[in-house]
Amino acid sequence: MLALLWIELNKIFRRPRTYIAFGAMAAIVWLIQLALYFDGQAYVDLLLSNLSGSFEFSDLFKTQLLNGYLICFVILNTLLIQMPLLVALVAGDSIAGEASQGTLRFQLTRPISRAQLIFVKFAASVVYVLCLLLWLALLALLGSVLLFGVNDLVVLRSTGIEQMQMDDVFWRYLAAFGFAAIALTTVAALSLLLSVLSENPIGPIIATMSVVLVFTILSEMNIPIYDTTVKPWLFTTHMVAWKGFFYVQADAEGATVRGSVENLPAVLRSAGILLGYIALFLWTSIYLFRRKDILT
Amino acid sequence: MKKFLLAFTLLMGVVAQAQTPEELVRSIKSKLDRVSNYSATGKMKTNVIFLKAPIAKVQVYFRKPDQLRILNEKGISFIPKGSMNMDLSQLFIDPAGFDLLDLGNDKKTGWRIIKLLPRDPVSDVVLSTIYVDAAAGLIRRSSTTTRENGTFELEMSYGTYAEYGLADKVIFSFNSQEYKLPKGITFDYDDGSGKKSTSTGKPTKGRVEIYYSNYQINKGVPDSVFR
Amino acid sequence: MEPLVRVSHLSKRFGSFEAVRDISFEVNRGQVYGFLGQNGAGKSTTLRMIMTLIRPTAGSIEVFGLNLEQHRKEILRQVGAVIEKPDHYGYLSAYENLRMAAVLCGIHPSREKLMQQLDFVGLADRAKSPVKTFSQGMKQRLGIATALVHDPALIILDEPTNGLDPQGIADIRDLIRRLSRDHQKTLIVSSHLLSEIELIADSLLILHKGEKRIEGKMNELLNPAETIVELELGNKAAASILLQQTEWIGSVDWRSDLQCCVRMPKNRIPELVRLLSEADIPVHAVASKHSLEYYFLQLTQTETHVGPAVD
Repeated sequence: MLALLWIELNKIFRRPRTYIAFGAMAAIVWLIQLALYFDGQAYVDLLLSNLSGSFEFSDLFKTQLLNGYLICFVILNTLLIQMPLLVALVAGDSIAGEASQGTLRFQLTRPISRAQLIFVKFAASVVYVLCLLLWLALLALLGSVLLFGVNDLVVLRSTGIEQMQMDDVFWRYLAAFGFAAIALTTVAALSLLLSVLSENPIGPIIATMSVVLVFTILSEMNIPIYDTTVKPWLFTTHMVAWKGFFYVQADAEGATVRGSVENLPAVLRSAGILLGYIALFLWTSIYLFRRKDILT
Repeated sequence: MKKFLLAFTLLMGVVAQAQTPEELVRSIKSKLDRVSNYSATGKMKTNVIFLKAPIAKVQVYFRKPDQLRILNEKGISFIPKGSMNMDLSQLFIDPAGFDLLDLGNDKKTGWRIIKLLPRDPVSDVVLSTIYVDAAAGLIRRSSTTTRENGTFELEMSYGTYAEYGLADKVIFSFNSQEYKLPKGITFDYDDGSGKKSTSTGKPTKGRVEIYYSNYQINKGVPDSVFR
Repeated sequence: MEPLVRVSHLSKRFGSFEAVRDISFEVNRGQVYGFLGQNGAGKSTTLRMIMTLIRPTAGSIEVFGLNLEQHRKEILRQVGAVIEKPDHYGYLSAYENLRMAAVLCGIHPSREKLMQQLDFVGLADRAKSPVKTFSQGMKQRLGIATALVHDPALIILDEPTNGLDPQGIADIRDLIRRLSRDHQKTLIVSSHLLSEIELIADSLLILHKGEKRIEGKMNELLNPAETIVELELGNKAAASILLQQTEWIGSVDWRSDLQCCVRMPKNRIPELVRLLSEADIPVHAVASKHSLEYYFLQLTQTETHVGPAVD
């Protein structure tokens, strides 16, 4: 199995197109960092515009606010939509791309089972996702910290502000990246399923993005009929649960409780739902692939 | 001995009761005038309905007549607007600039209630009410309405530095404006707990508590702090 | 001896279209078994079913005495195949593609062994070149190398000479002969090029529109005693009557007013010519066709099952 995984990883990382994703991510991150480096104060002013009636913000405060941890948070927020596309580029190509190239025959006339092939391609996609996230962590977290330093992290929610002390932030990012791995693996599993159904890689890539976009819109909308029926079960609703690690508990006097997560059971539940989706997509992929006639 | 102490306290109370508002204000001012500047270490708790902030270690700097700065050099602290009013000494720069109204003693605490009405029609302070521990000559509570920063309240507790009129603990209550950001900007995580928004559409009250320690009185404060 | 491959009542339906209809055949060990048929006859579909790329609608396949559905992995360890055009990973080299094929078969041959296999197909000097730079013939040879990498007992080649120049075709033909004769491999080779099958196959199955039209040993199908004679004659009417009346003539097929093809015993050609001459029927040309091509074309055009010619 490991030898097969090595083959799949070779295929992914020997192709120049794989590095488009890494390059695109670097470009986006650097652009954001560059913009905030030179014009970060304007961004901070915008963030604080809602609060200037209640608090006074010195230049020192603004400089402290615009630190590496906040920049990283901004970048992660921005990449919410782009990351699934970068994942779909590879996972969506995994079966359909080989079918269109004719190399699916090459593999399936060998003594490996179709289930094995799906598992191995899925595993390779997961490794790719982890590499992508590691790259993102290096660029967005390490890079931002080096450029902007560290300080307390202030996260703005629609109804409140969460502040964490600087030495209470790093582990949250580790947890958030870990969660993001599960979220993006869900996208990879969906892409793989769509790839099984197609013989042209463009289809699964576009279909994955369409599903993610539409479901994200549904997840963000506040329509009563959806809120209680569809929304809690959309995987996109749970993909943003990494933010839950940046929502803290407060004591009776409103002081942040160090090392706390506002609703850890909810975040874990979201992780569980995503794992369930992964299992569902994977199982369906295997079921359909085993019955598929390979005509290319 | 006990009877002597009781008699002495009663006598002081009578003496204090006997003080006019002007005399009280003068005695407070004389204490406050002893302090030209100070710096102190503070532990700051911020309690605003929409804000979760950690307890912060801050440095508080004061320089006469009305410069006060709260700084968190290592971390981030949300300093409420009008925080310079945390030190009431600016009220007493020119006591003659106020009309004083004696409202007697607060029933619960026994503190002397004095209203200060500024004579200057363009003064930032519109009205201030102070609750004075007459025997100690210390302001224990105040409620001040300003043109720029609205109404705020102060509660002071004293200890080691009472002789300078410097509190060990200050609770600063202020009006905070409503906070709300569109969900389409923040992309919040909906954890399904069905928590209702804390926003009521109306301004709310915020509170900052500072526990002071390590006052450095009249040792000088650099200009750079107030820039 | 038990056949190496036994296909029983195999059918495949795609929706309402029946690509393969109830075919049965057996391939014996050491044979070169030819699959012949026009494009769309069902050859590739049948081979894909044997290689488990397609699921049969009905029927069964046994290879090495084992049921294919139940023992797929075990069977495929001993089968190598090139189905239709051999597609490789163009961005990888020939060596890397071959190594990948080996790993997929569960083996890890040494570098020397892989180079030997590339040498066997004449690609040793291009081992490091990316496959996307290869000609069709080179890709075909690499395809055969990947099919052979795990030393299978059964080799299936689907249209192995497609797109090749005459030299390439000759090379493949030579390779097939070597595999059969020198390495005792069993081969199933499909083609629509009748001349190729005729030259390499021991046994033959002809498919037409998904149905088996004929199956048998090559030497039995091509009765050396019989031949097809192509005649160019001057008088169609008189010739028709004469040919019809001659009892040792099997069948007559008029292509035009001048040309006809006659199935008849080979040793009676001089007699036919004499009969035509005596009947004052001008004979402009006589050509004997000992070829499967005509036989195959006959079968596929008449839509009837035709057995070996009998005297």
